[in-house]
Amino acid sequence: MSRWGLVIDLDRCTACQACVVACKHENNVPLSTPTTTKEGRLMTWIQLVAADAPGGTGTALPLMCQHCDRPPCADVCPTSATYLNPEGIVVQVYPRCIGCRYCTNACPYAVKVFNWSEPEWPAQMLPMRNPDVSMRPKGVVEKCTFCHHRLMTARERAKAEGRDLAPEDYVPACVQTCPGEAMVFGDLDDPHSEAAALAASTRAFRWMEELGTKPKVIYLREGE
Amino acid sequence: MDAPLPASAVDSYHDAIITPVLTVGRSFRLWAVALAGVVAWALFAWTWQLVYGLGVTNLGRPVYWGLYITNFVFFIGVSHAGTLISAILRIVQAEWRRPITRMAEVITVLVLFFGVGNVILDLGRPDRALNVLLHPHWRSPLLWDVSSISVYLMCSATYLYLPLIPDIALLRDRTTGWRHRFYERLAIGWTGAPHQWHRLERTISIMAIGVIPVAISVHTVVSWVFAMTIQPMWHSSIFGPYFVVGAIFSGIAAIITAMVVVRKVYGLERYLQPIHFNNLGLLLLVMACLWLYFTFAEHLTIWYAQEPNELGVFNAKLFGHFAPLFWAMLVFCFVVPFTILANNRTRTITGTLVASISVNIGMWLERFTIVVPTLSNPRAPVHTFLYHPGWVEWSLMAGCFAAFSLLYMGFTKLFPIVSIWELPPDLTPAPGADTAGGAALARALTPEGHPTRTVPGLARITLVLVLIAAVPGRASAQEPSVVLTVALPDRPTAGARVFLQKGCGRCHSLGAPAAAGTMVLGPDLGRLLVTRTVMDLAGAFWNHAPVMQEKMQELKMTPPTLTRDDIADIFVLLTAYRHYEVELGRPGNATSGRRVFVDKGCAGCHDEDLRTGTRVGPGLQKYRGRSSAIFLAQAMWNHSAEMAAAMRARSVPWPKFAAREMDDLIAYLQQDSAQATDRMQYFDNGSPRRGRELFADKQCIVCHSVLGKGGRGGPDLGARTGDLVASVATIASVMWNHSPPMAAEFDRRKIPRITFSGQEMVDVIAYLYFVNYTTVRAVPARGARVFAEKCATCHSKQAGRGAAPDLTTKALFGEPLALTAAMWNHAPMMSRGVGKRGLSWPRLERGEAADLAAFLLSRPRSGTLVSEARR
Repeated sequence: MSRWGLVIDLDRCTACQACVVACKHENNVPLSTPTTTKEGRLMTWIQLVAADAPGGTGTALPLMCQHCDRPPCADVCPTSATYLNPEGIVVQVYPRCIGCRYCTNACPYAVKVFNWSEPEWPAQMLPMRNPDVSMRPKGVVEKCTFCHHRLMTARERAKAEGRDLAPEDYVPACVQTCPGEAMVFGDLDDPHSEAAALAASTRAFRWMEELGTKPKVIYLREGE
Repeated sequence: MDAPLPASAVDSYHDAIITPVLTVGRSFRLWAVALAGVVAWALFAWTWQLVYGLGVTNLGRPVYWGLYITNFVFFIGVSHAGTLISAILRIVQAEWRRPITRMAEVITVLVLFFGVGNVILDLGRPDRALNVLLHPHWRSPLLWDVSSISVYLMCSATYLYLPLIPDIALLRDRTTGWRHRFYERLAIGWTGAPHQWHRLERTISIMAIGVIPVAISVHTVVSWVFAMTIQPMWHSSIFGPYFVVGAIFSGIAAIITAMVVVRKVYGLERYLQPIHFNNLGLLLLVMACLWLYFTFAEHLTIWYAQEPNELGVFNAKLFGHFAPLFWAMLVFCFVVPFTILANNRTRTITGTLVASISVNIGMWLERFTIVVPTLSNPRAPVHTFLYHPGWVEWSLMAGCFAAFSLLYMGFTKLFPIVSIWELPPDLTPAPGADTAGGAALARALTPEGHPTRTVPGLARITLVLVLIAAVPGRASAQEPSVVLTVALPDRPTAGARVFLQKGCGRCHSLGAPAAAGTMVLGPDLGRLLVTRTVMDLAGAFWNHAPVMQEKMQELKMTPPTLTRDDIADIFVLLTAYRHYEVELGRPGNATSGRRVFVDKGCAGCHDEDLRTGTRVGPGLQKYRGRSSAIFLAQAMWNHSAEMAAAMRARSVPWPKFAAREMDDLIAYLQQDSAQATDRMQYFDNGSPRRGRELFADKQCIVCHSVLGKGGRGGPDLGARTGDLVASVATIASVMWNHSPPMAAEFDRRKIPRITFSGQEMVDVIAYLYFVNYTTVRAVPARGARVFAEKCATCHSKQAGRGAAPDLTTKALFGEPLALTAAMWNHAPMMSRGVGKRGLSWPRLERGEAADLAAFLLSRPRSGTLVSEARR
């Protein structure tokens, strides 16, 4: 069984936010404006935040669900609407979510967002929504899924072609888009995968790993 | 000197509690409408939120929780008001708690709904709330909350309901129409029988113990919702106890606030006295100190460690955006209540009210400053904002408080807000007590022959000592006699509780053989020959005091102290027991019964084998399995006219029965009955009070008088002490025997036939019995002689130093049973005194107790009467 993880090389990241845009389009994340952001209603699965890397250097950090191996959000969910699936992806089951927002509060990374209202789309954009990703109703929590729908599609295609899933078959939209090739996605348990190799690098750190959450998003420090 | 008492003076002391239940005033309606308006607005706001989603609140990322969760924690905290506090006070037997427990328990049950309700308000998908039960994830503290709060809700609802049952039964007996049906259903057949009291007391004490861990678990797991996360200033190991302390703190404050309002609105000043506010105020003071300690400990550890994320929240709370709320909380939760409550002079009712409101506000702020600052200062450097609750949130909060008040008001209109049966004896109006409720009931005895002195409401539940024109009885012609009257009991079985509580049941059984393996220490009080009247029973009690004391000393037991009401209840129970002896199955002799059946000519019309109705009269087989003289008495009474006609046609003389013959007749009708004893039908205990009403309603009073009040023609039924202080069968036979002359009188006066239902029969018979039982004729002059002979050795001026109090010059007691209680309670002490002086125990012969009481009560009372005399 794979254990999917993402490595982000901060040395390569240009903070262009192409990943943010890609994610929005890929996952049908509703649009936000500066006003709504000020009110705390920003809808996004990935965003750039100003953070301190270990060693105290300020940096722009692309922040999405860290897909913790010990996810605090999954512990507290009263209905098991969010849980760690066997492949290491923390999933969110929209039809089961009751919208109590306990998970959003328990997450130290503040990466889960809540659908405060029914999502609205400009009419022109309606046909542009991704048919592979389900629309979320108002009142439920959503978050980065490592583009789980892509994994399912890739697996089906591989099966149809009668072969095993190849590493290049499945990459999330942000990774695919990153112009600086700062993001590397792969199976952390596969010793031959590039992600696993990079995760073992001396530059690698996991954000807030002192909390014991065991994230599977690994950042590589700048410099060196 | 002795003007007729105002009507209010003889009102039942329960009425102050019961009247508000049954009446709805104008201001109540106005408040209800106003509050309903707020609730309606809140419902509108909620609909708005349901339609447009939680977006209509001012919540956002990362402040995902706000007002609703604050209110959830606050309401659940307040819920510790009732059950926990009343349970603790019940267990430690803090007697002052009695008038306030009900008020507190209602708060608990109602407020829990609003606690849970606020979580529902907070859900993004309230329509899926059931997922919590359908797909429970037990690692989530929210599930722990769901479990704990459900258990708590059930426990506290039961704990509210159980002590309500006797009061519901009381209301059932006092109401008609839908209310009667409503209470009847809720009273689940409560009659006040000894075994019911026993079960109730037992269940309540078990519940009181069981509910405490549940209550503590509730607020602990509420705190764990926060503490189990790793968020700064939530992840704290002292949150459990900290929240529990805060909950009890705000709970007490809520009780005090409710008490002040209820007291004011329903005029319950007599029940809710400064002492209650003083005691709760002290409790609040203790909790304020405890709360400060926890708050200090919590914040000091965080400040000292200087962990950056924790410190961020800490600074926001103490010095940042939330500083005004935090410091206000400290003032409201500690400075204000401590200043007020630590001072005797300010710990008044108003003072505790101000402190309580302050604590309620402060504790709400505490909940808010726990929930919001942590969320506003997340670890991750995402954009945050300052949360101000929006109109929907404020509206729903107002709606919760309004709906709570409305339900609380509604409760007071359905149930007594003070637990009547649990009221301590000192809240019953003491004779001579100068209270607005009109408890000043005792009046001095005046010589015979002043019928203008009659007091209205002779047989009220309240204890009345009245003088009425006495009918010549035992008293000799020269010596004036008086009538001592004790109030008619409402529930003859109320004494069962006292009997058990005071431990009488440890030595004495009541008409049942002692259970196997238990030691029989005292005589079976069910076999006690209860002599004639209440005062004779008092005499018997007095006479057995030294014997009992000796036995108790031997067994190292303390003699029970009895209040006036205890004595009254026990007396009534013992008497009632004898009254219902037949109900409880005293066997008659079936063979003798058959002889009665034949000899009295019953067999002339009714089939002898009792099976078929081939003869003139109906078959009597339907009385099988109805082991009560009441059924027979009722049937015979209701059919007496037809029977009389049939008997005249056959020239059968009207049979007259002695009481014993009635018993035997019942036994005969029962013979060969296949019914097991426990499946036999019995009647509810009769209520003398209802009986009195029936006596008037059924027009008995047109011909019969009772103690000089009522019509003329028939005999005065209050003057037949000997005849009517007897078993049910006896009274039934008296009624039967006199029915032909009475039927003739009916015809003459053109009164329609009067029939009784079974229960009515019981009640009327109970009334006739108890009105005679509670009325005692006595001769003060004779009492004076008894006193001189048996008491004056010690209780007089001449007795010298170290002697007992002088009773010759002034009366210390207002009415006979208070005197009896005092005699009972001082018996141990007197026994020692008597022994020291080498005297023997003064025994009181039949009638002497009454005379003695009349003599002692006729002494001038200190206080009111003296001043009245001067005026």
